[in-house]
Amino acid sequence: MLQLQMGTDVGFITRIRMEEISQSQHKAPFVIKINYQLVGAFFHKATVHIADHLEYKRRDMGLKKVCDGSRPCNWIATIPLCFRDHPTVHVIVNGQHNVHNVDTGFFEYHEVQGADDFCMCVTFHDTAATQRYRAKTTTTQELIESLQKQSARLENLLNKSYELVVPQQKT
Amino acid sequence: MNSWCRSKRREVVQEVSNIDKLLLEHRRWHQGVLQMCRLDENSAVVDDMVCKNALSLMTDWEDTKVHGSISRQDVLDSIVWDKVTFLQIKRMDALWPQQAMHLKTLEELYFGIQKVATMFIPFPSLLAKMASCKHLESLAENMAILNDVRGQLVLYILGGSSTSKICHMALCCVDLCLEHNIDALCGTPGHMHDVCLVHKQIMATQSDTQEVAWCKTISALAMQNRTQFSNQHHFGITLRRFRPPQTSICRAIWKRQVVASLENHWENGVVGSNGRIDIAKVGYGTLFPYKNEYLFVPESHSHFIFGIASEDMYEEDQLRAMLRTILFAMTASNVLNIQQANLFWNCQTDGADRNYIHRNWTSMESIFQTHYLMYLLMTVTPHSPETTLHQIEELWTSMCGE
Repeated sequence: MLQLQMGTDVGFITRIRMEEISQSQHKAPFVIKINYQLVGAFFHKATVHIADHLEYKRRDMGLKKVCDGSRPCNWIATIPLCFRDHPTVHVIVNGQHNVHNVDTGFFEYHEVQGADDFCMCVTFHDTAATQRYRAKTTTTQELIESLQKQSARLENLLNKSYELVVPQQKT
Repeated sequence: MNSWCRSKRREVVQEVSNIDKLLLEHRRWHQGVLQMCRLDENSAVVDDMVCKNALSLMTDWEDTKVHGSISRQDVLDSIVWDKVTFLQIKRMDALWPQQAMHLKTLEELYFGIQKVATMFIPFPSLLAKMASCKHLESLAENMAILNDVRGQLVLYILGGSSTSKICHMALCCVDLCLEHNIDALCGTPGHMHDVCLVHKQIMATQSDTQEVAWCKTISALAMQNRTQFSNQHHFGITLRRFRPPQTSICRAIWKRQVVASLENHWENGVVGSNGRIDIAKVGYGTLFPYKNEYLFVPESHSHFIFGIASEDMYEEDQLRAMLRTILFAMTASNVLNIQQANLFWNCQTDGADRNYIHRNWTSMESIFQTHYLMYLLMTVTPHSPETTLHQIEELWTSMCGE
């Protein structure tokens, strides 16, 4: 039982190291995927994927449209990354692919809904040498699942101990 | 003998306490790993998502946030904090060096659990210890009385020419009252209403026979001694000053120990007019001896369950406790048989049983119409609307009439 647990933990560290080696040998492009739906001036069901490392659901928001003399920006997310390592990023918005230079600090585009024009933007933050991303989401999820398996093993141990051992002891 | 009993009791209490300590350490590690793997509002990466001084090329006509002025609160407000998986390096660096220590804890925990399951506290010693604690005195008294009453009832059942159902219902009532006291002692969740429903059925029995009158008296006596607590759903308040386990698992282990202590005591036999009778040999040496025959006591009630979804060690929730209580009462009153009760109980967790119910919906519809509360409890989920929960609460209150 204990060996199984150690196996999982060692496996997790090994996976992280392999990811690091793979990353150093072949620098994968930094891909940001943003998916959402627009219903009129309402932005909803949005998800933000930052490379393979972080993905989250973004809260819904009402959008402000471009009017004469003003271009209010509808901010979606800020992406922290090392500008030196990734001077260009791939931003895929609802399947539409864009390659962008991060040193501008932001990526903006327009969504046109009928007569309305919405200015949308994603900003970038330079983390310089500070490493922020180490493991893939899937690797991290595997570690969480191994915790759950550990709880299941404890559960089995408790149930089996009391079902098998106590009656033997009593007789 | 007395010193042997005392040392046995101390050994068990010590062992349970040690397991509790190890479980707490394990839980701290478990929560530490989860914090390491989950994005939350204290995560360092959130600070990186704040933009204070970036260039802003756009204007805004009513102070709308533009890039260049995204506050930490804006970032926090924009994310749905629903178990977002993200490995945080700083937290990992702080936690991971403790991994070897955790493995040692786990090893001791596995060993301790296996060991404690082979030990039991002699029941007289347990009662004596309880009686010596002022706040547990009444529980000790209750358990002693219920134990005596149970002995009389079992002897009566064994001496009778036919097995009367009301005697078994009275035995069920006594066992439930014993269990309530054990729940109060151990801090495990119990459900007051299961015994209320069984007692109600006993008292509603229409017969003038001496046996029925006697069973009604026993049931009433058991109800007087079920527990000193009047709170509706949860027990365990007094335990806090008597070796209080802090983890739910350890409270469940403690309950197992108390039940084992009681059952071991019964296996020594009950003294009747013809001497000591080994009630274990005739199948009455366990709590709820007839549960497999016609009374619904689901697995989760007698097993340790850890919730995967809750990511923590888990106890039965209140809605499941209600369903268990209803199924229990329905099997006790022969509305359902054991197979049907198990089917309805497993419906939420077992796809095969759920499909079976859907396939045989027509034949089951009448049960759901007359027992709509059971239907609601079977189908309720964490995402059910508030109105369903209110409906359950109302139906439950009107059914229990308390």
